[in-house]
Amino acid sequence: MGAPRHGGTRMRWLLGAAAFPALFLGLVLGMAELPEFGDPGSPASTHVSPRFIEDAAAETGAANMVTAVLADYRGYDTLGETAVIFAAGLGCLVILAAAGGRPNPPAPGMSHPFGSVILDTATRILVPVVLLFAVYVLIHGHISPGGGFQGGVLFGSGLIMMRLVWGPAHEGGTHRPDVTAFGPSLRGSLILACAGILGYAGIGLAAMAFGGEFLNYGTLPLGSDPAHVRELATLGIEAAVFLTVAGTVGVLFDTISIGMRESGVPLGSDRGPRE
Amino acid sequence: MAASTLTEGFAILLVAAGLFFILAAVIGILRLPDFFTRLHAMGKCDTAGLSLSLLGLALLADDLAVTVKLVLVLALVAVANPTATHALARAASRAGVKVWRPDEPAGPAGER
Repeated sequence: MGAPRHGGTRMRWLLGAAAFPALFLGLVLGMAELPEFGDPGSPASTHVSPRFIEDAAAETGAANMVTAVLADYRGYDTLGETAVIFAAGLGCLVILAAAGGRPNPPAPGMSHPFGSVILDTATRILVPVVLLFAVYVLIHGHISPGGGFQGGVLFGSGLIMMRLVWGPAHEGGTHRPDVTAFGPSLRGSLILACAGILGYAGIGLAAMAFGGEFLNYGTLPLGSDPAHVRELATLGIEAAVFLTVAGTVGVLFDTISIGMRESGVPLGSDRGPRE
Repeated sequence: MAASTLTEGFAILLVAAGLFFILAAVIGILRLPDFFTRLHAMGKCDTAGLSLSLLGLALLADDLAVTVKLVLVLALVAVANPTATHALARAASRAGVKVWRPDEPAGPAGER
């Protein structure tokens, strides 16, 4: 960053200054050769899209074509996306929480329980509904809008609601003795996220073990109907994405609230009326 | 449309009543002097307005599944909306947001 200070840095700076316009120019020239945006005569519209529209439901058993493409045809791409989300959670953990040296301290700050009788009662009613709906969205992703990412975020919001009202889920219990700790702790969320990404890659490797390509589920021994096999494997993939996203949301909330406490942001301060 | 004229009329009445409450909430948010009074207007009128509108729409729905879904949304709103209002008021009170008093010199609306 900033102006060059000595020889080595200046050399690198000059190299970068030369490489950037060249790369930029190359990309712009390459763009010029691409077909018009949305051109119905482009190869993507004449060959790729009709193929998916005609064969997706029969081949993958997923009536929702978006699910078929994301979790099956382009499963490798989605593996990368899931890994990016996981990496974002890890990055947050490393930068915000690990800097404080204590991964799960008894924190005031934002992670201090914000509960009152009203919030406690409403959370008891709402959280089960939210968590159940998250699983519904995950499973229903086959035939309607939904899937692992959306369901995982819903599940994560349920986790955040519990953390906001009842405080962080420590290994040792909450600040309020009358409310049992529920929901994964920071460590538990991290394990969930890891299990998700491992499960995703594991399904891909299992397909290889049974003689197929990585993430080509057709070879898995889950039944005789190939579309049904792919359907089950897709559900497994979606569940893995669900775990990763839900766990990462929990990790993000915990690390950000801990980071806020470390930097002295006065959220949920002790001024004002308390119960 | 399977619904009779009477049901339809009743549904329209409910939706209109709901819209009236939402309008009252909007006027309240624009006109009331501080955070707590605005929240007061928004929380009650929004919940009532949304509930009445949803009830009217549930009466109009042809499909039973749609009616059930609308009633579920209604139940969720009835729990979530007052709770969210309570949480906002609690957070504001804890953060030391000043309560407006009529005898104090009126500052510009929106001042905390």
